Amino acid sequence: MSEVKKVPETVIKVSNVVKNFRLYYDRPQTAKERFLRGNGKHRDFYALNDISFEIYKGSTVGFIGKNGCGKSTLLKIINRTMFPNSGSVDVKGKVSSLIELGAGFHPDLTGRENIYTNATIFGLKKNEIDERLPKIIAFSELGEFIDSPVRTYSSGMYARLAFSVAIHVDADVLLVDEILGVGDSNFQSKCASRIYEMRKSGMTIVIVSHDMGTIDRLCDYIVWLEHGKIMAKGEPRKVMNAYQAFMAGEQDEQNKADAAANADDSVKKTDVKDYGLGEHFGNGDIQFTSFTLVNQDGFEKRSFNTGDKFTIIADYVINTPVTGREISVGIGVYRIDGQLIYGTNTVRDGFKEVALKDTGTIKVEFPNVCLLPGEYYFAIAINDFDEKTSYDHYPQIVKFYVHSDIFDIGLVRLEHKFDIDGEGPK
Amino acid sequence: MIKKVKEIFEYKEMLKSLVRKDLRTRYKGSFLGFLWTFLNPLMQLLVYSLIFPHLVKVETKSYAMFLFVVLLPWGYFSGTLLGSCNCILANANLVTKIYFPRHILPLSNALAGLCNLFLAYVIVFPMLIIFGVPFTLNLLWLPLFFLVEAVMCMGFAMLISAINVYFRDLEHILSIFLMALYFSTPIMYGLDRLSGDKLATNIMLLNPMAGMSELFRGAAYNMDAHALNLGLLIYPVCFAVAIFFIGFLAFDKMQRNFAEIL
Repeated sequence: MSEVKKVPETVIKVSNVVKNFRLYYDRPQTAKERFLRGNGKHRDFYALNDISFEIYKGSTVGFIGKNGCGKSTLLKIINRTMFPNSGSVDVKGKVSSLIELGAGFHPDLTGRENIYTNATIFGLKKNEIDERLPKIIAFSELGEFIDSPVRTYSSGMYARLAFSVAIHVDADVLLVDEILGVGDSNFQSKCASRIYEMRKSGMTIVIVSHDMGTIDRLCDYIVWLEHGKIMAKGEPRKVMNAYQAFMAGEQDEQNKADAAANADDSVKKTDVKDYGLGEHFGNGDIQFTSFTLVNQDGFEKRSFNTGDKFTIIADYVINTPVTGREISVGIGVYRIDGQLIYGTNTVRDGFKEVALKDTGTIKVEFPNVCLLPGEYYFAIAINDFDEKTSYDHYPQIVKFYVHSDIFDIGLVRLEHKFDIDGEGPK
Repeated sequence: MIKKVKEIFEYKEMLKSLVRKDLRTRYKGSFLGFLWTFLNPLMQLLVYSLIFPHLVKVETKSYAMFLFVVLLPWGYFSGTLLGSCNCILANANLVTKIYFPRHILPLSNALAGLCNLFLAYVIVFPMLIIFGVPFTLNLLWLPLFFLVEAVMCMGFAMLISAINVYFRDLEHILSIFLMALYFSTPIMYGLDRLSGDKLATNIMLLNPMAGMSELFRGAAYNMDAHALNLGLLIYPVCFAVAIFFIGFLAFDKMQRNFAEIL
């Protein structure tokens, strides 16, 4: 291995690639419009601006960046489906892509026939396909369905077949674009282990993903793109940390802007008792008037490190008095995809009654945020004691980010300690 | 260009499988399936042999065959041209996602049509016997004529499929144009109808399909004065080679931006 690393062989060489698209504000499509308006207003949009890098044989390279940063365009250029306006791309060897799965499948042909057609598109010869056919069919787990027309397949079967073909092409370079979500969890782990296998066998892999976990597990080199330019490249952890810090900073700014906009609204709307805090429901006897998320120093913040302390502060006003016994305050923390991480309320926490003043403040302190990196939000509610009546309930408020230098996986970081033969980490 | 041709040759397996797919799926789902490849021309022949002799007064002997041996190559020509309009658009998901020499798409379209023409022409031979048209050695010229027409169709297919990506009106213009061309090609009548008007004949022969039609008829329908005039072959051959090169190079130039336009 070390010998290979001494003389790295360049497989993909991208030099000074520029790609711009012409964005028409209103693209004239028909002759009538073309005559009336001429060529239309347009501006040039640089999807890639002077990009250069080299990818060595056997390495796994990840591209990260926001939506629209040029990742996919770059992949298409490496894939030779698009051509750069200037600069050059040099790719040695056969390229296979897990970009569009099942492109070119014909619904009326059987799975077996489609394997042949699809594999020839990747440039395989008949005898090469014959040789791989049993492996492809076995990997797809289609069994006897392989001789049924593809139109009778479920979407999962379809994707599995397509993935099996693409993954057995044995190309020199494999391009992967956000597709590791095919099939059930068994099949997914099978795909992942197949990619590991190919990686071990010396295939060069290029991955585009938003999932930092995938990138971290697979890549040994990362390129971070922003507005068509390379912001950083190199050692994965370093680049990912820089990227996540950058994203968190942007989110903070966005939140400040949002808050400013909301503040204007709430001033105007006090009279109609809508505080402009987002979607909510309830009978309005008690209402929330503001939400704030602060860090340990009491500053408003929306991005935290795993292990930080934060406190959510909610102000309320009572419009119609209700007796103390009938009130319960609840809070939930959700991941951005809707997965509930934790939820509780005052009743469950042992409060026999909650006595609210006419106006006041509810604080919930979390001394150790053990959430893993990602985007989260709160839900907060004031209900009656047995949760039959809702006074005011916000299902989604105060989005916040968590980032971390440690790349553990799962939902939360559990306190733990490794003890290996009596020794801790060195 | 040589590099490109080499590459296409490397992808010949894909070309084959696309042609196979086209032939297999053309009549898929219908009850008679692949039989339609033969039934279609047979039914056409039936219609022509019933209608023309009985409703229209024609003096040509076995007019149905006179028409049929030329109608099939014409059907190939017009079918390929019209079909090639959509062959890039219909495969947009392939073109935008996977790399392969794009020339394969129009080429497979033209070659699938050629295979269909062969199969349809199989019907011609028993029919020649039934209609009492004598077999002659001229029939041996047919493979060459198929080849010339195929080269021409491939050239047109590449040119048209590429232009149609940028200018989608072409499809509609083309269908009108082909209808006009149909009537100005000696299909329903022989070139001798122009009764020796040199100028009119020459103008008509500017259309390469006019020469091809006469050649097909000369080879397969050897009755009356329809002798095979091989001199007619020169122009279509030159035309076919020229349009193939033009089509190939134009396609090569235009295909670079396909992924962005689609």
